[in-house]
Amino acid sequence: MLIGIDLGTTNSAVAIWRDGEAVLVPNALGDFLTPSAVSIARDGQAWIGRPALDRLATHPQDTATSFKRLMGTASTTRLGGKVYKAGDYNAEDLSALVLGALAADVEALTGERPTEAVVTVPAYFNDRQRKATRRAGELAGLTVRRLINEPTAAALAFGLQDKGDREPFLVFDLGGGTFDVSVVEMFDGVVEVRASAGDNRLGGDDFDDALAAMARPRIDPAHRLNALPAPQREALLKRAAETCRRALGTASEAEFALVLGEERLAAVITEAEFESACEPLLRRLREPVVRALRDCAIDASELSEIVLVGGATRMPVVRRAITRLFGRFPNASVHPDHAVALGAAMQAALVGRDAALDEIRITDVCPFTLGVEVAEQDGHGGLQRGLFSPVIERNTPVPVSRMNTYSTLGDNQKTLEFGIYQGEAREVRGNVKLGHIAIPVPPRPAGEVSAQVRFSYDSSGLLEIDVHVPASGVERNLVIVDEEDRPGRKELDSRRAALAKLKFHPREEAGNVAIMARAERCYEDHIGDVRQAIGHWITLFAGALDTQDPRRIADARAMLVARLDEVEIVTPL
Amino acid sequence: MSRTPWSILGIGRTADAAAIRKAYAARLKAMDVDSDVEGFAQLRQARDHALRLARNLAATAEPAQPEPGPEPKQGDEPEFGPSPDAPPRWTYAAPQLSGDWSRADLAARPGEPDDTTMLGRMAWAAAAAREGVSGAGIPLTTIDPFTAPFLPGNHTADDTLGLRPGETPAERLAILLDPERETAGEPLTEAEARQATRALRKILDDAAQAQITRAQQIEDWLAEVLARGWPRSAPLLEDANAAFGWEREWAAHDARPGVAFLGARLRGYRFQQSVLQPGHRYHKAWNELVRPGRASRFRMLRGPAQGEVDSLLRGMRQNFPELETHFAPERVASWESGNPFASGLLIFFGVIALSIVIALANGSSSRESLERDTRQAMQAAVPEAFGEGHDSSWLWDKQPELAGLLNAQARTLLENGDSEAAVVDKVVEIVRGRSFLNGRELAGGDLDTAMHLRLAQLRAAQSRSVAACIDVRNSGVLHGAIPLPEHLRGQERAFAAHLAETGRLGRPKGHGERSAMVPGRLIDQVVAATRLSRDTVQQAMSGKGDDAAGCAVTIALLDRTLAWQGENRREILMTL
Repeated sequence: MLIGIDLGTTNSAVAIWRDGEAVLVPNALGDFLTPSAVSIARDGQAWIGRPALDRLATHPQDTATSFKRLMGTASTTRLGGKVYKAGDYNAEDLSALVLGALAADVEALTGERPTEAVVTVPAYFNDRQRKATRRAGELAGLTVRRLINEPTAAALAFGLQDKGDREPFLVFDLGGGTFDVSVVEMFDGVVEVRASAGDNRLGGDDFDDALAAMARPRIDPAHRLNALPAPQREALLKRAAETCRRALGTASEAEFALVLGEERLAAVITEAEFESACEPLLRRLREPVVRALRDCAIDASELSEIVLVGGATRMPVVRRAITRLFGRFPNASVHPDHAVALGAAMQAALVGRDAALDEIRITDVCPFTLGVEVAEQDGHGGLQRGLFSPVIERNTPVPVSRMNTYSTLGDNQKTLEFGIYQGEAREVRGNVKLGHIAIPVPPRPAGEVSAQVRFSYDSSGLLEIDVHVPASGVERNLVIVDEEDRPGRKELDSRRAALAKLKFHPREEAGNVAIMARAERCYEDHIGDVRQAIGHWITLFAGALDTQDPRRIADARAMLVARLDEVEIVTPL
Repeated sequence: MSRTPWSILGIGRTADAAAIRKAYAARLKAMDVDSDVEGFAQLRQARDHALRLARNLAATAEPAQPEPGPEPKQGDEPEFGPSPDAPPRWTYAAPQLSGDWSRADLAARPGEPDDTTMLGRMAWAAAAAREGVSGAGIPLTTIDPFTAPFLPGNHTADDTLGLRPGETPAERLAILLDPERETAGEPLTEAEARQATRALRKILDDAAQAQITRAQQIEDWLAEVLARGWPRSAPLLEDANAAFGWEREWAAHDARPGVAFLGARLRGYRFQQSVLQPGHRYHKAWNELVRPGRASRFRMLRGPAQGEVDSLLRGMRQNFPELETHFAPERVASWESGNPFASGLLIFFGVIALSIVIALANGSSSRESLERDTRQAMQAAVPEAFGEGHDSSWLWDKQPELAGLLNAQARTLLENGDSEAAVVDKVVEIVRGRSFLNGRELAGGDLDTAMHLRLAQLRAAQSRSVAACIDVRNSGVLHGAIPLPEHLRGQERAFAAHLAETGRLGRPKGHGERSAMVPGRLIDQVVAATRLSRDTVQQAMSGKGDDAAGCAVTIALLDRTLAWQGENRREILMTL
């Protein structure tokens, strides 16, 4: 079975194509959104999703969130015990756990274990980040049939609502960790992405950080938070910021508060203060919009809609900035958290050639420039090395195949070396290196031997390079795929085996596990009498669990949920 | 072979965009793009091409005279060719020239066995940054600096801006930075800088609040005004850069020329600001080089070390060549000629000085011989470029900036092991380029001479290859190694000497994209001369079509225009 997954920075979701439409799949707790959070205890017990997020407050050392921002980097997070490699998990491992949980949700709903998936990535994810995402799928036992850009998926979900023609519209996708802009057009069943641009280091998390940075000196003038271990301090601030930011979505001021030991530190933040703290971030929203519009030569006034996607677009400050930017109100008709997963399921149906979508085609673009490293003579006779020579310009429709010719620079030069890069900088050191290819050339005077370099980029973002030297007839080929830089199948297998050793709660216990994590988090969030009361309720619930009597457990759980709801509404935290 | 977009789309010629999209969609659904990448690219191209044609068709189909304009001119419309749907006049799109004197020299060079080079054109901005051209030479979008895209409110009440009644901050800024202004050669005065900064702040505030299209217009406008106003605009760059985030863009391979230009300048400006601080590593060397006159023979006793001067010059030429204008050329030259004590004076300084000299000797002897070779090469090159009876000192006297540039070029070539002949070629090429670029801006006989020489160059290049011809057309310069008949060389030398004598061989002023109306009669002549079809000529004039036609049409048009005495003669010549 082929499923569509939105693997987000903050939340993830899974959808399937059933009876001619895309349907979201609920997780074990009945929610459509599964927080992208993983918590692993010393004994290898693992929590994924909502309970893991709650454990961030109680067990910050064991818990990881926002790991998508580390995708494609060597950074690892140390969690829990020594499950493998001293408990260091990289973003792929953690993402694989989330993907696995989503696949299990689909299995629970349909009775069939999915084996293939379409996974969404930010349009502005570079090649490394895309490969890492693909590997995460494999670690979770899913063959990633296609990676689709998030704004493209959202555009599908938006555009296929009525399948009618649409003038160019702009998808404004501000997620938890990444920002993408795509200009899309629809006509006669063709969904055409005209241009994409983005900032893969800008998202809702940054707004939280800005808020925390502003509030921290106010609630903690004596720097007492510095005494805490970093993970705990970050977790406290992050939670406080998130809560405060949400409250500011509906009120003109909100409390930024956290509990330190037996004390509650708090300050009131007004919307205006928040807005000015976000000013530098709001300014960064402009550039990708400008770039995307410029690349497809469309004026902002020609856009028929500004479609909002991504949880961070719910923030009033962001909406105001967008309204100011475009001089009109954006379209919030698609669900900002669901659209991407639904679009992924539609893409899955397209890949699977579902009859209901027979008349739909989608064409996307390659959002980055791809090229090779060259050296050139400059006007003063000096040699400038490390320059980037584009072969495929950004925002070219894919699939695409382009050829450039390069020649030798030295007499009797023996080989031509091509560094393959992705990016927009004029000098290669500002770009991402994807690979390297060398080809022997016959010894001749400089400039007399040339090589033809062909780049082919397919719809899944797979890049293939062919180099041909006409003078000698020699050819070389380089396929930039996962196998090229991956630690080898063996290691992948061992990592998969190590992940399999983790202990997961049985699905039927998911509700109990989640409420327990939440209660413990509430205990941390409060002080005084409330805290004591919560402690008492936890004991009662634990007692009910011990009886193993499903009825008593269900009753105790319902009561605990009601009490916690009451506590969390009454107090600001 | 050549399939039209209509045949690829499988429809007849139409102005209906929806029909084109429909046909495209149908073809797209019938193909598997992943297995037919070429077919997909073709289909996409055909669709885009067809949409463009459709727009043109729609535009010509509609009578484009909604309101009564000025009386149509008599005479020149009817004589234009018979085709009813062709526009009455064509615009000749001038190729954009790459600024000053030459493009990057991609000549082969030994000793770099493992590098590759691109057979192609270097990014203009990169070349410009290295050559240190003035902002006026930048090929921008030719926005009129005085027609700002925005007129923010009425600021007459604001005295601090020094606004005249009815003047906007944008206009104030444009006036202060106007490169045509009398004081354009000097930095902003304190009062002017204050006014400019305040005007800029107003404009930036306005941009921050504006909608995206307007903010973009403001940004483009400002980039242009600041680039044109360089170097007077230097103190304003940081603010504008911070507001628009140009720093992120200017390292990009496809940065807009204005932004790339400003980025390179700002880096230089920052360096200059820091080197003026007494603690800076090169502070002493900088101060030494900006003083007019020759360097003292006894500089070794006080003054900076030779090594410091050398590395300052080297680093600066590589990164911020435009800063060299701050230095006194003579002083630079005397430092570059090496250690004075290596000649006869050392005996006066006894053993201590001697040991220092020995330490320096290895480095300076090669430098000295390089200087000697440079002088020698220049002695051969200057008469070759300006005719017998002219020498280096004459050139230093008449056009010191050009002399400095030629000297630096010669030195660099020799340093890289090139022959004296290569230096001569290079010098001829640079002088030729400047004669043309400056001569084209003149009027009367000088303009004619410049364009006659240009025609000869294009023909010489054409006889070699079409590529060479296109190269001349685009770069404005015939490579020194391509021979020109001797009588033309004589004319060329005399013309260059004439311009230099009157101080008109300086850095050419740049211009934006130029175009001129070509009257129908002239086009008929070009069609007759080239024996190309009218369509091909039309295409070539708008910068499309193949190179051979482009070359032939350029030559014919230049030839015919020189003989033409009708309207627009000067305008047309100036685009060629």
